[in-house]
Amino acid sequence: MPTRALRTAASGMYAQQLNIQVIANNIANINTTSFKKSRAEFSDQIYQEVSTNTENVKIPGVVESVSTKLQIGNGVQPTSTQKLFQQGDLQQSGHMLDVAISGEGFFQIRKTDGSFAYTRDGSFKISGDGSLATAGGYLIEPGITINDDIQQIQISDDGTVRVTDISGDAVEIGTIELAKFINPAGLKALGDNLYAETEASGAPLIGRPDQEGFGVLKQGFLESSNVDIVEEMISMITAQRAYEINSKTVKTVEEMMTMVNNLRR
Amino acid sequence: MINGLELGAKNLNARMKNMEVVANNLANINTTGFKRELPFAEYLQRSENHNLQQLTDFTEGSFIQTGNTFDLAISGDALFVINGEEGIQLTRNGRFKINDEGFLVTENGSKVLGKQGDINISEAIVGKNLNIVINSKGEIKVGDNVVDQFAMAKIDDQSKIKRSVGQNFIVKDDAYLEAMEDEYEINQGFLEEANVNAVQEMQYMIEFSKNFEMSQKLISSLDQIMGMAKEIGRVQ
Repeated sequence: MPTRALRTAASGMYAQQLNIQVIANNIANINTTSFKKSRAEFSDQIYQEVSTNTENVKIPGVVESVSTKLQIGNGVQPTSTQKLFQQGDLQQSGHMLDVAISGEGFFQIRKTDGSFAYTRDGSFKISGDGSLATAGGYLIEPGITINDDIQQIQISDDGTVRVTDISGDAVEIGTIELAKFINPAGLKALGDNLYAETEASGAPLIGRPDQEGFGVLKQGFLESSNVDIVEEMISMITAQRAYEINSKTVKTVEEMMTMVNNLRR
Repeated sequence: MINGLELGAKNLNARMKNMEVVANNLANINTTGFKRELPFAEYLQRSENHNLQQLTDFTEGSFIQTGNTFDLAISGDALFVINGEEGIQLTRNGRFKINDEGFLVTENGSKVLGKQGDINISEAIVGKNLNIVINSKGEIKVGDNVVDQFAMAKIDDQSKIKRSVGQNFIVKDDAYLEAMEDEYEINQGFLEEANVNAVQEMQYMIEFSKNFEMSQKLISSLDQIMGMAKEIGRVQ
């Protein structure tokens, strides 16, 4: 019994299931600061050559068809998920240590194992020893240390960090640098709003925020996620319908098989 | 009458194969750059010389914006050329990335062909802060410097191509026809969706299952008739 059509339809249903999982994750993260939405990517599977004329019956008066090989596909397979790095809206938070990037750059942070990771989440905190750290507790690189006895912290568009101490003197204490990638879509998402460089993303270019292409910093703002709820709902409907139509294939093929079984009663 | 049975069986087989084609089209409804396959029964019946040909529907799929540098969608009648392990392949799937040697590659690592050979942009980008712009004619610009231009192909004869994984088409003898610059336009930051139309596929599905049913009925009827033929002349 030919079951290829059934397996093909099953692969389609599986693909749509995965698609829904990706959409669900996007929607779940709609309020996650600087979250970037993902998109599931699919590829067709191997094609098999079949002959349409399996039985070479000689019928009087009918010219036998030239046996031509035809290719029939085996369905679909998920290949990867792709992050879309479109800019999210900047939302004013008014908090001194909230910094949003307007542009393509990433903050560079050092993980506990010493390796670098990149994030666009600029909701910074001051850690126990006075270093500027992300909400997840990772120190930003190059490090910036802020003393206790300060009144105000100013982070300008070009990344310069100035503090005003109790006596009212403004002192420059460092610069927040940004990293930029040729192909940010190739970055690996590590969770915790962090990304790691990969072959596909290329090595990071480090620069000051005011340099071209890195983007400028906005103190007192946070970047919201770039998930568009309407778009996700549409994707969800499409995925659901696609799932349904693949199940229709299963049903139709099943009916055809029943008919075959009923050929001889 | 035996011939009738055989014809019926043949039709059952052909319709089942057709269902497989429809199933594959529907399974790939979300696959970037996928081109639907036309069910071949029509040609089986209509063509005079009975020379079956595989037909791919090259209608353009709709574009979806991703904003990524190396996501490219082609409008017009052309395909990207890929230098894969199995030789030259053509594709409409413009989802590319850079590998660690600086080559522009597809999802499964095959190099993308430019006018000057495999496209490599490592020299132009290493240590430089420049934007990569791919214009409508497929020229890859790093800053003001044109690094390479995509080699674009078109398909004139579908009997010379074969399908392969990754929405690719293998070309016979690696010989492809070059597409002229005015025949296509490349859109950076977009991907082309599959050109599968659910309505069309459903229509085919209904058609095939009904046709299948008719053949089944035909066979059952013939079976009955043959049963009756046996009874002729029997004395009650």
